[in-house]
Amino acid sequence: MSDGPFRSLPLARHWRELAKLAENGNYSREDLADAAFTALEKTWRKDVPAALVVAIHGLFLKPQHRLFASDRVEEVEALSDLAAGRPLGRLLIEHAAMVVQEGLSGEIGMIEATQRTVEAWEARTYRQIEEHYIREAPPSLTRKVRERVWNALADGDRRALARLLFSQQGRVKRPSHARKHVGLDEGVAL
Amino acid sequence: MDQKVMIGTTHDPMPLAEIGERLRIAREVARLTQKDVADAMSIARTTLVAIERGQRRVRIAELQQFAKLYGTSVNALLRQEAVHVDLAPRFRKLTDNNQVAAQATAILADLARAEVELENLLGVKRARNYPAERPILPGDVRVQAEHDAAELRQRCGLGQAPVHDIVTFLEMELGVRVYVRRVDGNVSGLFVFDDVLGACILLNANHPRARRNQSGAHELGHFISVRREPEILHLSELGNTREERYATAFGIAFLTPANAIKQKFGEVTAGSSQLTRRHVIVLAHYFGVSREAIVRRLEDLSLTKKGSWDWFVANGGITDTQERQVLGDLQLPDLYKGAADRPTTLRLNLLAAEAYRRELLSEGQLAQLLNLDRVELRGMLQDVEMLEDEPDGAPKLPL
Repeated sequence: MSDGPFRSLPLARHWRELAKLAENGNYSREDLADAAFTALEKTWRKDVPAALVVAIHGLFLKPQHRLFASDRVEEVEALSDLAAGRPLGRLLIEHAAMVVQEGLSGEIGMIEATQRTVEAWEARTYRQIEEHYIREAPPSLTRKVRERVWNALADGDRRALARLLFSQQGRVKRPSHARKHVGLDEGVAL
Repeated sequence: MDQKVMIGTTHDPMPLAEIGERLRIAREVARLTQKDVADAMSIARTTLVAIERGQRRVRIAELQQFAKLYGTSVNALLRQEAVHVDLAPRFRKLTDNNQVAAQATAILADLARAEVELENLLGVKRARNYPAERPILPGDVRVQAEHDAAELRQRCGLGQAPVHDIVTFLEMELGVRVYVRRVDGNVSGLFVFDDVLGACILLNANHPRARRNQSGAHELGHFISVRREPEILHLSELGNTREERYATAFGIAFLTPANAIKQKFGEVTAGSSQLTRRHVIVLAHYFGVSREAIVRRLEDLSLTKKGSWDWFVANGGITDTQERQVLGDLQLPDLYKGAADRPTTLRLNLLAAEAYRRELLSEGQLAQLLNLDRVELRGMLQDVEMLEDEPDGAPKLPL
């Protein structure tokens, strides 16, 4: 195994896995996009309590009986206790409140809030990875990882991920794994 | 009453210092301290020290007691041709109370000692065609290893050809004693050089043939560079010292010469945009090394990107089943694996049978020398007799 800076990356294992793949030029852009998708999905499962997902789901889908958006924002923010000590959960509440403020509701609002949360989180994570490599790796590797992680995140369909995350309404399902290339005639690009 | 010790058939008295040295080695082989032996024989430790230094004559009765304590015989202690070499102390700092390594050392020592003793009895001189030592120079050891490996290949007339059987190469080409035996644990190989025994290598028969090939080539690297230092190679050992890095690089360069790799790589991957598992299997088979070794070599030579092997591992590896799919009947049988379960080697058997035929050693002496019981020894002698239908020991060909 290589001894790249991914080992000391102060993030969860699945983000380290993404960085490891980004360091290794043999992984395709699709492989990296899959890894980024998996990392986001796992982070969501770990960091967003099921009860919070169900509660926000209920808020967005229940018939609107409040006249002012500000009242509904208060309802969303009242869920803060469910996200105590969960940064991604907190972020979801913030974005859900913003979406409500903008007057979006129903499934569209819910998906929008989730998508924004995921995008904000991945931007934050991207910065952490970038800074770590600037500190720990030679410039050429930093440039390579930065570019490949950026592409991996840009290639992902966040709308689809948001739908997936919210369609499960907090039910924990076995996380998806990227397809492995196990065929005899599969290998690394020359 | 003191007696002069007469030995062998020469009737020359053996020098006391020689007897003392033999007794010391026998004691160390038996893993007994001077205090243990002195207590067991009810003599002072200083007396034992004097005996081992050759400063005090040893009585026959004492010799018999020593032999019994050390699990040997008076004959084995005093026979002129007997080889008294203890390899264990040389490996001691490497074994660190590691039982497996100690067991491997004992296997190597027993086989080499028995072989040399039989050669001495029969007057057989094993040809030593050792290459010159190449001490490790300042600078990048990998560059030197590549150069030294190419030089050895040239000396042996190998050109760019693959070396599928490192054991035969080491034995026939260089005159190194090589034994392939089952060793527990992760010991891949042992190397030791001794003035009496010569260069000796033990390879682990439990490991696949390709890995054994690599271990043998690695030990050859030690033989070339630091001949006088014994070495134990462990599975997946990461070389930290310059000597270790040299041996690893030498082994790789010897088995997979850069030019040959580049040429075969070009042929095998012609027209492909990928290095696939199929390519890796074919290349590894051609060069007689493991699939990992070939991919890592391709990475080192920049024929594929760094991290290619990691990619294969992360994607399920390259399996034996896939190898069978690709190679089919091309896979070579592993001849050494079956023979590794026998307590002795074919060469030892032939030497022992000849010594027995010439009545140089009795059945009991041979059994003790080869660490066999008499039933096993008789079976072995019968097997050899069946082979020796011709005076030169050639096997009988089926009509």
